[in-house]
Amino acid sequence: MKKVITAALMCLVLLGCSDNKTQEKALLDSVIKIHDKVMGNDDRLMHNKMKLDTLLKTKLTGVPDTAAAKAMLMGLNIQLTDAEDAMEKWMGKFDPDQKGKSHQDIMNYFSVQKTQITTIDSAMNAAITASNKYLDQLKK
Amino acid sequence: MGKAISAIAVILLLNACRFNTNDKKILPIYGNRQPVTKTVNGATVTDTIYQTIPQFKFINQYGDSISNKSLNGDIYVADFFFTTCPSICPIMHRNMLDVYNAFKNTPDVKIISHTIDPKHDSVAVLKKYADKLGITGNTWWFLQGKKEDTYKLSESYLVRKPQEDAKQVFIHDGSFLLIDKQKRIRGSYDGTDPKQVSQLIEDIKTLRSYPDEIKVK
Repeated sequence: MKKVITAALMCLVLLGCSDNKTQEKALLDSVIKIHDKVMGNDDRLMHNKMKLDTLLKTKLTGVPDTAAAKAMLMGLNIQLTDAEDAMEKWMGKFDPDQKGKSHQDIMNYFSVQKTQITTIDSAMNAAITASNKYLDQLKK
Repeated sequence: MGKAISAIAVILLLNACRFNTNDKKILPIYGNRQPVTKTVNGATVTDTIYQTIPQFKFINQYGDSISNKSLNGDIYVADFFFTTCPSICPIMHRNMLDVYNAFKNTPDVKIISHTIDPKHDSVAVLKKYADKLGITGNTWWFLQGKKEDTYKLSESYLVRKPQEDAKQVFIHDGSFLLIDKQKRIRGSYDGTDPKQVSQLIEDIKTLRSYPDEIKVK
């Protein structure tokens, strides 16, 4: 009887561990999914940034040569650069391994990272949308 | 006995056919092309100018300057990555190790991996990353430089140019690009798929069997 109880307890512990690992992996996967979306947007961000850089350096048809137009361009460029910097900082710090940490610590860490990368995603989307709008206007 | 000889003859014939098919395999040439008409010995001939990888200059994991000229006379595989990438890059480079191991003793085959996070991926970080993968020598270079330069170069490698509305991932899509000795794109492979990477290895062998008909400046 004692052996049966011990075996049952061990099964429960093992199942608990496996459940913890599943939860951690699911949360990590959701962070990575947003990260990959952000990385895809980084391509668009960089191309818009390069276009704005060119406009700032050269006088092109369609861009008024005024202080206001220059300030607008610089503002959009700063918005893109800030989003890019935030993403790069996050990438440098993010540690998906979380070796030796407790389940709760791992879950807390990934939750915080998910919030952070979601915020970066929003900032990046806003910067790309604003610069797209400006660049589209120039095409017309 | 007669049957045995016939069977051997059939096997030999089939093998010979397979060998010939392999020999004749032509890899496509990717990208834009332009017809150019010129006069040779009084006759008008039309030639084709293919899209090629433009000039570039970066630094590798040893701190050496690497340009497009460093790859003259080489077939090479290019990809884009960053060392802290938690998703596809580790899978890509695990697969790229197969390419490295297949050609590490072949002088005219190289691999170049461009980091898209040069602020973090310094020369020292790239060297540590290469060491961790077990990379030695000059077959596989990890390159870093200005992020803008890498992104500009990626447009030539990836053929497609980003459209604002296109729901596609570009630089971070895990592609391995095969470039021939004339700097033309001859293949694009999903670096996360071992089967496609095996095909890449086969295609490099095929490419090596071609004569070097055009000299690169």
